[in-house]
Amino acid sequence: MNKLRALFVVQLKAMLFSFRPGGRSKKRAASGAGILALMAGLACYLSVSYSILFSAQLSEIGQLPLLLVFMPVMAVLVGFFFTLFAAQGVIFGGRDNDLMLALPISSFTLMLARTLALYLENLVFTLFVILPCGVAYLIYGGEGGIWFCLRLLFAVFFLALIPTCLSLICGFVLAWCSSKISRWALLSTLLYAAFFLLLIAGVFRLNLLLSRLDSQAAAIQRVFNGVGRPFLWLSQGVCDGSFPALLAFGAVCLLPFLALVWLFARRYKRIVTGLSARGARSDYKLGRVAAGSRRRALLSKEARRFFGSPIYLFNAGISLIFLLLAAVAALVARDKLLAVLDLVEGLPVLPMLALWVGFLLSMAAITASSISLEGKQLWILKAAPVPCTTLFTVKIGFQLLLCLPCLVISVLCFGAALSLSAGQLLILLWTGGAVSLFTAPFGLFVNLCFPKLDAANDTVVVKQSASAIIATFGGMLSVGLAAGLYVLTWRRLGADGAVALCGGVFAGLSVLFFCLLWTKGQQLYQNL
Amino acid sequence: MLQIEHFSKTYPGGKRAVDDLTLHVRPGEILGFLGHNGAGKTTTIRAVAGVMDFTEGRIVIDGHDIQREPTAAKLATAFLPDNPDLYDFLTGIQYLTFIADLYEIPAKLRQDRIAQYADAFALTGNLGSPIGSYSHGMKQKLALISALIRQPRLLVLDEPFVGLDPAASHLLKGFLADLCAAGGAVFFSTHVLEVAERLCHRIAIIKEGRLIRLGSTAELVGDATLEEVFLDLEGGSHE
Repeated sequence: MNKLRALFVVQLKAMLFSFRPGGRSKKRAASGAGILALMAGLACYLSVSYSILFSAQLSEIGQLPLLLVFMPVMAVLVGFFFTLFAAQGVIFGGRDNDLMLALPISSFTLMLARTLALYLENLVFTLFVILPCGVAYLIYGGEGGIWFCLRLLFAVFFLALIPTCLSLICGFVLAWCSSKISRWALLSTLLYAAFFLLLIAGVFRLNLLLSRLDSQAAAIQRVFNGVGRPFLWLSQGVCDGSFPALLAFGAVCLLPFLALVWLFARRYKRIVTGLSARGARSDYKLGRVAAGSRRRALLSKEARRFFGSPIYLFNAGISLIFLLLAAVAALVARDKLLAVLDLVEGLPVLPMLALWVGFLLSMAAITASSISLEGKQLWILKAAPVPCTTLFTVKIGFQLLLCLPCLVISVLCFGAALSLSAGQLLILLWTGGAVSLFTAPFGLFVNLCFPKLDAANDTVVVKQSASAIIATFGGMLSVGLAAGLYVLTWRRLGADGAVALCGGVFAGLSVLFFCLLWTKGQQLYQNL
Repeated sequence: MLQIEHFSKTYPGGKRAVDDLTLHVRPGEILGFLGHNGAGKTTTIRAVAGVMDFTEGRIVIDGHDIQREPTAAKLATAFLPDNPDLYDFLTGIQYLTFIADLYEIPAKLRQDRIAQYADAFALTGNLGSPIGSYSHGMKQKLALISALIRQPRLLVLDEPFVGLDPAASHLLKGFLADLCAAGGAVFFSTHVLEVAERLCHRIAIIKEGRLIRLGSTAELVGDATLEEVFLDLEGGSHE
């Protein structure tokens, strides 16, 4: 038991450490806690928003207990989303496997300790989603009081087992595929694309559901009578106080979890050693070797890293994909879009479009992870005869090479769809271009301030690192502030003029961050 | 070739890793840099390679100050850390091409050099595979090839023989001798005293950040072995 506890603490620390920027200072440790708080806040915000939306509609039609069906599903999805890659990296692809497997502990204990750490992470996410949901339930007239709260808390401990099971299975599949399939990077990129399309479709369906909840409630209940029955048991157990339903829910969560852990743990050593063995060819014949410039070599490396890592591509580049999809959709569904716009008289099309485009461009935080992703290979660049300003230029240039073509294509599509004037197109290009020119050096500067060079894998850097989170939210916040500036100035300057002014502010910020990079940024880079 | 003048480095927290180090490496010379763990060898080597910032002292490589003219100084240098992490997402040949591009080695020349060194280290057949699939020794060999294809004026190596098989170690010693014969210089740290004794023209021993002995290997060793001299200089901690 002591061994299990010691292992569990180590695994948990490893997971929590992944949130922290590199270094040992108290400031960095505090910023790691800040990132955790930010993520918890985000989960809470999502939960509060959806809980209130659902509660308001469900209480009107007398179906409030359905809230305890919808929100647990969301909790499972959120937990699964956040811990999927942790399962792949920590449980099946841990860098400390050799060390751990050499210790005088059974592989079952090791597997259990790692799984419990994963479970605890899921438990935190589940709590942050379910607790606001419980509060909303009580506010909107749900009954039960303190007993309801206790039953809800009891259910949460079992609910967190579901995303843990899902993460375990999918993490194993991902780890197996990445070690056995030679073109896995390409294949996983395609799978990610499919996953995101499904996600978008799911969000649209959810919005549709929200708008027709009153007429759909009975149909939804029928759906949950099938595969989703455990969620109905949860709802019945927590809301109605049905003890058998609560027990059934607990059993349905716990038994598959134990079976899965037992199954993996039995063959854990074989699984992890099998996954770590990679096939390599030894029949390469040296042919003609091409030569290129330094900038081209660096740019090509950035591109290989970005397009070779689905997690990097889809986290840092997803907003650009959305931008292109939205622009093409606007062009394809032009008539419907114009009909909707006609319904609202005097709708400020250009400012709304600029806000949308700016918002998506600000989320493309490619440079925000690019220094951290160099990781332990940073010595190669630091020892190379390349000034760090060249390196900065290449990293910023790579982001702009992706952002600017997307901007131009989308602006042209939106322009054609919404019949914008040439002047408006230019203003949109100017503002979007300025946002891109700001986001790239801003992300790089943030990454230099909060580098994460000791991450166990790309996922930690791209999804959880302080710089990625600060740059993404900072970019979004800056666009929000620009919207505020628009509100303050549009009466005096007119809509087009106010949007152009916002572009000017971003251009100014861009110059500021370029100056910061070329001065303080160089020193930060030298100190890495 | 390499002049280290009054170099000192203090880490945040106050630990003085290197204290007023002055050391010269001449063209055609192999200088071994010895010292116990934490003596300041890696700190010095990283400063020479230009991967670590410092405020006290001056380091000049082939006439170029590493802080004032880092690009020119690095063009003349090839550096390998003790445990070289390489880009796992590149294949061996892609990595060598990347390095050759950074050092602006013409196409024909790089092809000949890659063929020469990759064949010698028996790595040619693996150059098409991702570096992620390489063993530790193969990565070490690839890193060495990437250093040797630059034919640097100064080769800076931190524990280069760790992880190499005997055949590769033997080859490396030959290549280091060739580099020196062509007018280059080698500055390397090692804990393998037999290798240092046989390979180095001169030896520098550092203790707690201070240079405590510098001289030709023959002078330094005399009738004893380098191990005896080293342990004697290290004093009480080894007795």
